[in-house]
Amino acid sequence: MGSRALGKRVDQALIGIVSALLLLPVLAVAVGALATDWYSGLLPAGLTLRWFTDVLAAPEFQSALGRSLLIALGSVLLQLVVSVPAVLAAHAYLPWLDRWMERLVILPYALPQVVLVVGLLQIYATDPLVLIGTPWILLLAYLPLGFPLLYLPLKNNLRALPVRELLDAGRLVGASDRVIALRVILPCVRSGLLVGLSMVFALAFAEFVFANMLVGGGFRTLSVYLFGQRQKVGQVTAVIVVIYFAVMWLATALALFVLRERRV
Amino acid sequence: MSFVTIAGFAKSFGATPVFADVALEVAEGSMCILLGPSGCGKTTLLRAIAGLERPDAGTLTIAGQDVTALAPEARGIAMTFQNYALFPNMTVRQNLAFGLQQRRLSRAAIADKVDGALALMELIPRADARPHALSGGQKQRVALARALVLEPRLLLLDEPLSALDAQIRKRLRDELKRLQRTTGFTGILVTHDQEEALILGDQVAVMSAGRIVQAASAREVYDRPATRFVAGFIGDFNLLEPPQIARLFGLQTRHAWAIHPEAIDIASGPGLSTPAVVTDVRIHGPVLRYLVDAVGTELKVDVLNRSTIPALMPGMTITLRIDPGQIRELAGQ
Repeated sequence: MGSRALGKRVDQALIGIVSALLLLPVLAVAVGALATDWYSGLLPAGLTLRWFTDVLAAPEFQSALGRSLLIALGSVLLQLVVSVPAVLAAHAYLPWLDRWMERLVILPYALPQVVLVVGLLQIYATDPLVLIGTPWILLLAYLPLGFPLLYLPLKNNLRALPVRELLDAGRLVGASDRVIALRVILPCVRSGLLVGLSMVFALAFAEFVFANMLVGGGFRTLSVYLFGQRQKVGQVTAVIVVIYFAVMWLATALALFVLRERRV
Repeated sequence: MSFVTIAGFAKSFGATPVFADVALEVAEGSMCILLGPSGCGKTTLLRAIAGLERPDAGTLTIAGQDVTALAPEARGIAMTFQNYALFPNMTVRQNLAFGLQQRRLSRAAIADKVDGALALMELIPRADARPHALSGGQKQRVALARALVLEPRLLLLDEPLSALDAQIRKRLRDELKRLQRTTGFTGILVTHDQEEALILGDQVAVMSAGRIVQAASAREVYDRPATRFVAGFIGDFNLLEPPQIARLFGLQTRHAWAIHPEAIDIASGPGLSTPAVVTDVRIHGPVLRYLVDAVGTELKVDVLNRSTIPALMPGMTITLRIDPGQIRELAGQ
């Protein structure tokens, strides 16, 4: 066996071990969600779907799931309507704004979340926009928080496109910049856009700190609901986490499907 | 009356002038080359003609119609871009159809015209490919087809060959020449390559620092460069200053001389002559270039590369002869 072949084996073994380590907790949670009880021993005493049916049937869970989906889809929509045109416009016409976006994009993650929460509470506690305790404040909070997740992949795709020349080529035949943006540029940056929007969805769907501190009981999202269940049997939280995984997986699969479908 | 007339065109970005006082006339069905080093303003001038930049002053007339104030799409101008700017998400066919769709032509008319342009550029086998699957030469042909399908009154070409490898560039250059002759489009082509300019241009306008320093037929620009800059940029002139002329030939002159390397004979005979020593030989394919030292002045001498002529070796002493009719006096800078 050559040293190269051996090296490849070692690589594969390492990747296998790391993958197993990463998958193990997920698997454990999934098994936990199906366990009758699991207080002693390496494996649960028995398997049941009882916890799933219990959780899924709870009206409180159903409305929390609905709220989280609503917030997640609303966040995606808001990014599409506000951030995407802003990023495109800055890229094509406003290099100075583009430079600022590039620098500021780290800000929501550079500040401690508590600072952001306090800031948001102050802004939205007084006129003209009193939004505390309403779901709207979450949508508005997730807009800057999700922006970097959208900006980075979208911008990467844009950099690979000769946007100015494409706009010029359009102008010469009487196609407005809007037409070129919709028919050429957006289809070309579709992959970055979908990756970004998937991450925005994931953020808004699972986020807890903001959801709990800005709205809390007034609009209990899935993560707030999950937090409330922490004193109950472990299986219930395991079921909720599995459902989280499932929704994320579906959203990602949907994004990949859209990407695959239209590339041909 | 020329077909395209540019008069008094000027443009600056802030305090920096890009081009000034540009006047140019292009005859219908001819190809005009804007030739100049990078940064001389030729691309911006082309964009101003297209209507993508607004000139600060001047007028542009096409077929007797003043189009200076018209939007780009209303001028009847098509343009190809240096990096082609094909729409990456569309097939070749869709790229060609896009402009016609903006004009709201009928589906049948669009298909008809697109098929014609695809056939003209021999692109039918690639009609359903996307730009990323095409070679550089094919991309340029698509860009040309996309421009020609619009049946423009004037076609602008921004460095159409500069992004291609040498082999393909030559082939496409000849193809472009043939295309211009067969379809008879009126074109303005920007390039920094003097060989390309001389081959493709019916008229060559040499630009320097935002001004057209000479605009004439390719032959004229090559044979009779108006200034030192043109002589230096076009062809590979030997430039002799008056003191050098005095030393070589014992003549007092007011102006510098420009002499083509191929206008110098390696032989004695009537005319001006001077002894020289060969310092180097370079094979340029069809021509041999000798670098010679003539009484302290380095000269370039080109002779046809024929095996029947014995090659000269460095160190050999020869006699150079120059026909006075081949000497160009350079009056200006």
